[in-house]
Amino acid sequence: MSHKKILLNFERNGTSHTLESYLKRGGYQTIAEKIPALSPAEVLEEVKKSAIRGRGGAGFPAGIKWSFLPKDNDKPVYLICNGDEGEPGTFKDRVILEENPHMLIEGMILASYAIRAKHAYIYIRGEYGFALERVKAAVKEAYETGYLGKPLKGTDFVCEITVHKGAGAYVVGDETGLMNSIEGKKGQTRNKPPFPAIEGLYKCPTIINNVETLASVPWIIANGGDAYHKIGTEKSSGTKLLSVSGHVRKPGVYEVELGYSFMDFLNNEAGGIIDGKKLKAVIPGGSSTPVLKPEDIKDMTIDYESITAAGSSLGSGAVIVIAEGTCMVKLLEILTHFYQHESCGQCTPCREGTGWLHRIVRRIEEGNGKMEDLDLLTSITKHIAFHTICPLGDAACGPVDSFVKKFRKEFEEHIKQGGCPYSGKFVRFQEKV
Amino acid sequence: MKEVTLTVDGKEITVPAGTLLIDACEANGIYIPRFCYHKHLFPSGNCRMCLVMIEKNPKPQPSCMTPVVEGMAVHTNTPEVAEIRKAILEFVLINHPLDCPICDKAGECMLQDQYMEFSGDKSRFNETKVAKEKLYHFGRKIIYDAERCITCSRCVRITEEVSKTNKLGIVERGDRSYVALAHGDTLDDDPYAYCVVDNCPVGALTAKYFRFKERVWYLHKTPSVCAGCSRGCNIWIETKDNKIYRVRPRENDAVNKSWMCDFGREYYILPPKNRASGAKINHYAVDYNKFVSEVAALLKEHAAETAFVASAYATNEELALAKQLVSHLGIKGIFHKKDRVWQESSGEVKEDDILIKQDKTPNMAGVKKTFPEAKDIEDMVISDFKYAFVWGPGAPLEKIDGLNLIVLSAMADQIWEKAKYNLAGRISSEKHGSFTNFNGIVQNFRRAIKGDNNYDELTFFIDVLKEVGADPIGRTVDEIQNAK
Amino acid sequence: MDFTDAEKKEIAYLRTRYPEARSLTLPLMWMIQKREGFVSDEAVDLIAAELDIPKIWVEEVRSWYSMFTEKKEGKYVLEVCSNISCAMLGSQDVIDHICKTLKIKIGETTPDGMFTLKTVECLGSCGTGPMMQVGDRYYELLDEKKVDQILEDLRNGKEHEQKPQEWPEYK
Repeated sequence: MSHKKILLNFERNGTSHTLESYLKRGGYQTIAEKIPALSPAEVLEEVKKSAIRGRGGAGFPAGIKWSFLPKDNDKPVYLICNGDEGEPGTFKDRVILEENPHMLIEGMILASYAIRAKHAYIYIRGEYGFALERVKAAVKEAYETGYLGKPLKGTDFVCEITVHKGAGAYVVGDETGLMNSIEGKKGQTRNKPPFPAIEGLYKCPTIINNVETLASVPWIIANGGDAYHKIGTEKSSGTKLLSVSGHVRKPGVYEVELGYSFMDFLNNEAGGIIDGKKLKAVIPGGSSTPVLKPEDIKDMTIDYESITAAGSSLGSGAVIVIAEGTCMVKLLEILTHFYQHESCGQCTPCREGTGWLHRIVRRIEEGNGKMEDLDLLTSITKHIAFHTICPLGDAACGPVDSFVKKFRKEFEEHIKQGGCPYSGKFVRFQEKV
Repeated sequence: MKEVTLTVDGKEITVPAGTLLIDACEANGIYIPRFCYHKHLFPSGNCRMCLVMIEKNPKPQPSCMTPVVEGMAVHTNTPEVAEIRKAILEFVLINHPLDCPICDKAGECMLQDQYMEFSGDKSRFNETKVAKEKLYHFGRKIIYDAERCITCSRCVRITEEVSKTNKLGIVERGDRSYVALAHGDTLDDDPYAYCVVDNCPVGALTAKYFRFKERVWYLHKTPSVCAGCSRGCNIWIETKDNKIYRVRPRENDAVNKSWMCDFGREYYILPPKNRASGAKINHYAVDYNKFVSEVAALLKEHAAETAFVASAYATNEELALAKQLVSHLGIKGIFHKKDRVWQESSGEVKEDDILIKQDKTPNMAGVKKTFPEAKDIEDMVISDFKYAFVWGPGAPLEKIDGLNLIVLSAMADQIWEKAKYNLAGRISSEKHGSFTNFNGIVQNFRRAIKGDNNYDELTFFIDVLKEVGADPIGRTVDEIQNAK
Repeated sequence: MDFTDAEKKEIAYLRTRYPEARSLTLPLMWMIQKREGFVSDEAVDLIAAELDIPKIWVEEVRSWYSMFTEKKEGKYVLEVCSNISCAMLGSQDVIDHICKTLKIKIGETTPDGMFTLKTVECLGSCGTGPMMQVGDRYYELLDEKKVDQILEDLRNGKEHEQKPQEWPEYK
């Protein structure tokens, strides 16, 4: 199936990131042609009509989020672009940042205009050094051309964008953690309420959206919210970037229309499983989303509703494909280590619980597990999930619960054998395409 | 004030709008367990111990971060809430060293107490605990044990919000987090450093002066009022065998909230230098009764040429008796002094907008109220007098040098040495009474330790009054207070 | 220690981009780390003085974010991703190979101060694993031969130019 290309509408020829290339493919037309005729409220209305849902993982409709800003407000409003892409398996925003940064900037100008933002920040994770350079260069070009720093044509609105570099912290991907990070603090999350739209960055009303969400806005404004809503399904409109990794022939980032068959995606775009192996499991939306077995995904389509119905979540659209021969206990050990490492240390259940989970799983993998450990794991997750300040606690529990539930036999085998049946080497696939 | 009505566990309660749920519950007899929440600090919501269920809310909510809302229906006694509390306690304890037998906090530890009340379950933790630094010196006053710490951030917030020195922070991440000072820094120059020890919910922060000295359950707690300055911070003096082991702030929203300064604390815990002792005439020890009758006779005879210098360390009740004596004898020259002046060289804080007042005496307000006619000793015309009755330490010697001095003081200073008549008095921890603080609040305190070697000023004035033929207005603190 | 004139100019500009000076904590720390390779206690003092904030705030930030280092490390820090997708594609082989080649363990620095080996969490290069980061540069689709070449080039001071991620579909 050929998919509409909204975000990846360029050739990877090494120049797509430049202003020249972007203008050639119709870039910044909304600024030149639409903005003079549209009021901020009308821009917001189009985004609402598009029904685009937040692409960072939570899937909250962006237009509704924007409309949460207080009506009578005399404080400055801020816009933040969340480019702290850190969910293991996710590398889709990186494509936009590295190769299509002007589309993001255009989207941020439109969003800033719609919410009358005083200043917009692009927060890019510290590890994305190259993406950062590309975005900075693009912002510079946009300033030089007058898209930024000068009143938009036909309005008195000036958009300002500053690029902010992170420094290594998954939890900063949470919107309140990210705000603390921009404020120069540890990126620990804040209790909600107050929600960012009321009290966010510098205690001012703040809208924060994912890179992919904001980069979709120019197309929505150029073609209309209704046109966007027609793509995908009724409740999951538009296209979605999927980053597929693991045991597939053609890993990478793909743009698909929501509602697309998952198996078709796996076999066509992703090229199927490497080395003719059988599929063992799929993590459909980044490391925190529950793992699914082949029977769960047979009829699954790629959209928020269908993946939720299958028992997981679309999350950030990071598809991690696991072939037979892979030790699930080892994989869970890696994931629990990740959450222990990334727990911000602020609230008790996550700070203590993530480390506890990891130590138990590691013990099982090392052959010192006990049968009661399995129930203990799910009992611990029960006490972490929904009891923490931010969703990192919940995120740490998704994989544990689903791995233990769906691959309980494999855990039991480790315990009975007193070791890993895969000899500790959970996979050694060296085959590359 | 606007009020809000809500139900907690089916019971309807009404509290002022803006009250936090945790306080609303407590005010109505429902105690919500907590570690990080402290009523005098901004809530941080990190320990999760105070989670409760609020109807129409699928997730449990931290009651310390939730202001009450009209019609809110709260549940604190459901099996789910009980399970959450047990779970949080289990999490807090997994990496905790469980060294209660040697922990100074044992007996008054929130973790111990809340575990007993809300859990009591056996731990299911079979892993190796995270090892951390156990002896981190936060300067000369305080030691930090990172393993006992539950990173509730109370101490960090105290240095942010109370002392405003911003000295403490929590470094590292996840279960490796611990409280730290900036490199090379100490808490020595934080004037409220000991408050972090008082308010640590566990035994992570301990005071060097008290560490390993005594089990807290053997200490006798006496309510007192700090005599370190005119703020009059409410304190507990904690003693055993007539010795002060520890001093801690006693909560009083109107005066000192939950805090006191280190200067005030060290006023009690460091052994006082040069205490005066005995009753002496011409530097020779005399019998107390002989002293009383000689001084009474002398004052009676020379009332017109005697200057009376009141002490701002005296209690209101002593002052009342002194007032009776002065009036009875017709002494006209009445003076007050600042008994102890601020010492810049010691690094002591002169005054701040937190608690510390420039006037370092506890009862100048009481002196001025009792003796409205009193003049500053600096304005004394020495030729008007032949005698001076100097009460309390710290009078300027040059102002009264050459007079015949009768000194009643707990401290042996220069004037004590120059006096013809000496009677050693008591300090506030050794007596009952009340002080009036700088903004007029009268506060009672009880005797914490005996002052066996010295004389009680109250008794002295009663005895002198009797000696000069007057009937004292009262013979005990209570009687004097009721007489007023 | 002080900021260079160019850095001071940059700081003056950055101050116009944020309403509160404390926001410059991360940018200034990056500035120092880029120049010195790590953020020393002296650098903490410098940043705290520049922004007029308590030192402990700066130290909190230095210790909390995983990319800031307190101590001097090797000239090149090899940060190999050990998270799920890279692990599934053989990051352990890459780590083992580097350990064997450089005769160091994870966390150690070669005696000549050239290389430090670290494992890190997901760097967002899952489609092109196994991968590692050296400075700002991502090295993707690693195998033993490629690692040998990278180490040799770095040793000779030849740093590879940065490129967008190189997933196979576009090759």
